[in-house]
Amino acid sequence: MERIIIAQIAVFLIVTGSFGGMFLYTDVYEDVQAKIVETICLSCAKLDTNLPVQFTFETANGKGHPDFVIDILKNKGPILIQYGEKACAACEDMLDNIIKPEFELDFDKTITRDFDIDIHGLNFTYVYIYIDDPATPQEKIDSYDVYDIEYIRGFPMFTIITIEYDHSGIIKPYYASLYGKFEPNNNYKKMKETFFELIETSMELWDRNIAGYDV
Amino acid sequence: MRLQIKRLWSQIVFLIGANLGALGLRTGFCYPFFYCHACPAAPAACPLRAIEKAFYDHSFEWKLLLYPILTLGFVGSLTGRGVCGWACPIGFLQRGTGHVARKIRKKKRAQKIGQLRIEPFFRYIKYILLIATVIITPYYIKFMFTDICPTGMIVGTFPLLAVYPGKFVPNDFFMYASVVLILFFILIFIIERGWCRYFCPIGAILAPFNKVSFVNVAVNQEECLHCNLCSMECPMGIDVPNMNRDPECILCGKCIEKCPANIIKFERIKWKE
Repeated sequence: MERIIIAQIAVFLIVTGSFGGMFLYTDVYEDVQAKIVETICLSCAKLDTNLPVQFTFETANGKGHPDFVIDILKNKGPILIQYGEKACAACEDMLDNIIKPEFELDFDKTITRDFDIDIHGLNFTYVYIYIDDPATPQEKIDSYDVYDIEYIRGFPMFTIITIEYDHSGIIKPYYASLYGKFEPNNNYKKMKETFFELIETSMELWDRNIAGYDV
Repeated sequence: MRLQIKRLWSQIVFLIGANLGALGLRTGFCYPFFYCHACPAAPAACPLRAIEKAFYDHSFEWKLLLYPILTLGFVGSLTGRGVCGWACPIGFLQRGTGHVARKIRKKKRAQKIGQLRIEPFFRYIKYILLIATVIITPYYIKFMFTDICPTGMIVGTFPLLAVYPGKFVPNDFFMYASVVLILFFILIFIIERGWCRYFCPIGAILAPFNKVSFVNVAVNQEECLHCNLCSMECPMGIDVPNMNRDPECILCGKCIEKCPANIIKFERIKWKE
């Protein structure tokens, strides 16, 4: 047998065996599907969003609100969720220019975690969900689909959740989602104002309705 | 059926396959060619994005590095860069622009530039680009090939703007990526397969597999007439009569069809001499 054939077979077996092994014995297929194929890094796509902020009761995928959201709404107050991923410039920009300085937070951007914020008269829970953190609970990752109201699949996404009376007179979670860097030309001042307005509105609604909120 | 018609059908089928996400199919595979997962119809991931994520910001995730390389390695060990010639949608695009490039190539000035001795060295740019912008800059300064990727603009950014009208506005990188996109189009119109020859990082990963792939283009050098018709026809600008498993060969088969002596053939694995 020629040397080239031995080399061909050896390379093919090594590559196929390694590929098959990775496919069968690691979670890389699921990772690539959930964290690359089913998401869009908006800054990598060279896009920001230009969408009006609208509160709604209807979840994007028709499923109920996740338990961690209900718990916080029942026991603490309104919630600001930031969904972020690895290798996403806009996710980091928003963290470094808005979230960390304005809410006086300092944390590792690669770890999913919650913070109770009480600053500038704002009182809410900030939930940072980093989908590439292997310790992120699946419930938190799945919550993205609940709040992706524009069906964009884009990162970063911010969701502000409070409670309000719906049309049938029942108090329910009430939320709005914002995508990417939602003000053109990196206008961080305007972005900050939008966040503050939304959080203040959420706090007013929560204070007004919490007494009648029954999960 | 003529070989080039078969190849055309293959490219159409793979173009459709690269957009099966339109039917709701979203898998965890990487494309074995150059295509963007930001495309609203993409069913698979760009291998470069996975590698960039593996190295981004002083991190290293071996799974995200090996998985796309092994995907490309699997296809490469079977057909080498055949995937560039028969499956890649960006290769398909360049097949269209190649007619213009061919006309330009006949002009004297273009011929002079084509004969420059430095031209073969330009082919190393794709390897430098792969290592620099897919591995090193994401690791150290968070700048990624994806940020300026022309394919991302063609099949990701513009379709997203079209599919979601009014929802998106261009960001800071749009301008830089647009300049790269314009240069990309100028390149593929003036040099046949200019992107594949000089810049494609996926081609850089696949190229070494040409040396050990089961299928390759072989020339019977003893019977060669040295008429050079094959080299003139080659879209990758290879010196076909003297090639031996050339890393640039995309197995398009144009040289096979052109050869008057019929001594260029697809060679498959040979168990016996």
